[in-house]
Amino acid sequence: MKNRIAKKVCAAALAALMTMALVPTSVFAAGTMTIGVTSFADTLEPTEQYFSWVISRYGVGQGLTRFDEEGNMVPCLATEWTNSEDGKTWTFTIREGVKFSNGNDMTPELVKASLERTIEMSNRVPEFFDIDSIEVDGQNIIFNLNRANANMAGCLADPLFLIMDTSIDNSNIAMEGPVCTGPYAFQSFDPSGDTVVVRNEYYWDGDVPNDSVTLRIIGDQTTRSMALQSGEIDVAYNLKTENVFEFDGNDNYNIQSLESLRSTYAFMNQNGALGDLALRQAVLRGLDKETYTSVLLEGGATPGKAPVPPTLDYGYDDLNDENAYDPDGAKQVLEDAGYKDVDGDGYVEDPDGNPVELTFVYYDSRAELGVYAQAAQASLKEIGINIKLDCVSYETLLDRRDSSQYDLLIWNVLVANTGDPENYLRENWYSTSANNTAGYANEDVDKWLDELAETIDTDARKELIVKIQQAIMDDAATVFFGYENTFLISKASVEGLVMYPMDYYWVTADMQMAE
Amino acid sequence: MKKQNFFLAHKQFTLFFILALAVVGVAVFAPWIAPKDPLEAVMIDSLKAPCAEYPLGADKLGRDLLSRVIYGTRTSLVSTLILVATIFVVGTFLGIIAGYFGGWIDQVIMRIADMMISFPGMILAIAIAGMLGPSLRNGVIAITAVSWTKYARLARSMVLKVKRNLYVEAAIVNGTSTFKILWKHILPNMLTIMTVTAAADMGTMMLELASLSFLGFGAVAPTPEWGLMLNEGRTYMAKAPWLMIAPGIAIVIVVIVFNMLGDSIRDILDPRQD
Repeated sequence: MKNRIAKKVCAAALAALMTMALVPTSVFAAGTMTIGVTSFADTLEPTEQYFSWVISRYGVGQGLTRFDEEGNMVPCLATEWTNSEDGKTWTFTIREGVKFSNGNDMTPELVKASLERTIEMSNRVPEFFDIDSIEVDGQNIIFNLNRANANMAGCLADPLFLIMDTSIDNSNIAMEGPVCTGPYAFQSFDPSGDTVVVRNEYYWDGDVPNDSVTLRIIGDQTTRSMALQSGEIDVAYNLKTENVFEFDGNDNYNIQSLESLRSTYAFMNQNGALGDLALRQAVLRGLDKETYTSVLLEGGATPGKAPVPPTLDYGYDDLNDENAYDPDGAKQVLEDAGYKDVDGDGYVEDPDGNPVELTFVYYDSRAELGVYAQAAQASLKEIGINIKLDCVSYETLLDRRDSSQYDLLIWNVLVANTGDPENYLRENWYSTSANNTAGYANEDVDKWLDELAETIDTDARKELIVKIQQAIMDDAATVFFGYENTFLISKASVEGLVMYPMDYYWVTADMQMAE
Repeated sequence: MKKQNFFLAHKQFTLFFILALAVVGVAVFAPWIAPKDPLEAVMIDSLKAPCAEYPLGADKLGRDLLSRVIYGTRTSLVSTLILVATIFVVGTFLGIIAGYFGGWIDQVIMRIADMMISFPGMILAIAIAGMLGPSLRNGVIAITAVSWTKYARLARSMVLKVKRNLYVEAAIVNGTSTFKILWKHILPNMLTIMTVTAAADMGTMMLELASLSFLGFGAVAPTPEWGLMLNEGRTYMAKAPWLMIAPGIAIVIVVIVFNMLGDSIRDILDPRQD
């Protein structure tokens, strides 16, 4: 009898133990956090596409300069910098005493080697600057440029120019990630699951509170929001107005929002049917962006018309949009250009009688893009333009862009990625830029962009940027849908979480759970 | 008089037959029943809760949900009928050939069939639809590609059984052409079971098509299709649950009706109960 009771007690104790073992360890272990994110990186090779953004966001990669919470440029791995009068020679003083996360010293030679690796391997570099040579002079690095650049320090803050240790074997960099100088270092990487970063023991700028941070990729917005409600994650990035409603007024969560510096726009591919200016004008005039942003997105974005959002002072209000919403005008433009509905299917045929069907490519991890795309389809149906929607993953979207397989392709990018819109304008609308696969070419725009690169005076820069924007709008080159507000929702127990206007920094050394 | 007896004798069948007819009626007469154009977007009415103007509410783009659900019957029913008819014809045809002729033809057809069923059906369908690109037609092709095997295997086993019968051998001895043997002597003897299987499959196939659309591999916007509507509503689940309730209930009702109808037909026709 006694034996039987002892057995029962044993069994109960065992069961209790097992239950405890089943409870996720993250609940107990101090110094870990889980963050729900969206990601677009297939690999951790920083020079591929925009994958370096992910390395920077995860708190691993750092550059010579960075932007603070107000968007001002501040020193990071470089302590100070000067440029020569002609803007062609830039000297950066490298911070002393910085170590990579493997304990190696970050010497000016390694910084040079890292930047040269990026320059050699990435096709995006020419839109930032045109480098002749990089020299090391004591603790300084000297950049000799072929083309003057007034904003070199801002350019180097782009995550593309993060500094990694090139002295080690980097043959497995795609899965193991680069070794950098940020507060955290990669432990494991899964392009569609959990990525774990652990404390960088050699971090140069103070203590790192967490042992590790797990970045859980939850591509679907609703699922991400539910994961935060169920406590599976502590922070959720990239939520929208429709999710905010679920957390509003609940003291257990913190909601931060920012009128962002991101612009949502769709390229119009001039290599296809949209090569015709009249059709592009009709598309622009057929879109009711005011309603899309205020009603469909519930104020989650400001309606767009120009490349640079009104949050940045580049003459937004003075820009004249001759293709503002005007469905009757759109029909008139189509009619004047000879577009007519010949076969009576409700959609116009081009002047030669061929059916017009425009493929609108969008990706699924940003819900508002699908809303814009479907709304555009519905609006353009009214004026007789047939839109075929094509929803793909972000990776496929980039492939489609690079191979120019689209009529309209929507995405969402940071406008002032180098501190001002110069690089953004150059990447997307300079005739020979690698990103410009829509075939947009305007000699004046090219000339002004070259001029802008050499101009240092702030007022003169602004004037040029306004002119460039007006030209792009007059050419009906691109559909500027809107400028979205972003939300960052976290458990109230998360401390030190800050939203940066340049969203390169998600995981930082300040972020931790309250005791 | 005899007909009425039949319907009275099979009450379950009669009930679901009438309901199925009603569903077909909704599909056929959709333009007359639906109060609004299912594609007309009145964006200021985005996500309106059910009210007098929108009996089931409005979706994200301000389209009338009731009209979309009604037109969705059309999409779902037509594509399901095409799907079931295709797998029925293709599967039965291949199964008869394999069973009757045997030898290498049998080996080739049945090994391909084995290959298809060695993958989880839905996953393979997703892969095929993914490769072909999303559209309702490609969704139907994808499900056809993974579902015909069931009919082929069933038909083959039936043929093997019927083939041994004396009347078939008598026909062969008499010099009847192969086509005539298959058409006159073999097909009629297996049609009942094949039809019962097809009827019972309607509901399942409808569900599979809806799931494919839900996952983004079937119907594409703005087609009113229930699976797609569920997916579109998912983002606003907490705020506008009616976006999911309406198409969800539509799927449940129609699938139940067709499943029960299939069951009733089986009860009536199944030769084992004779």
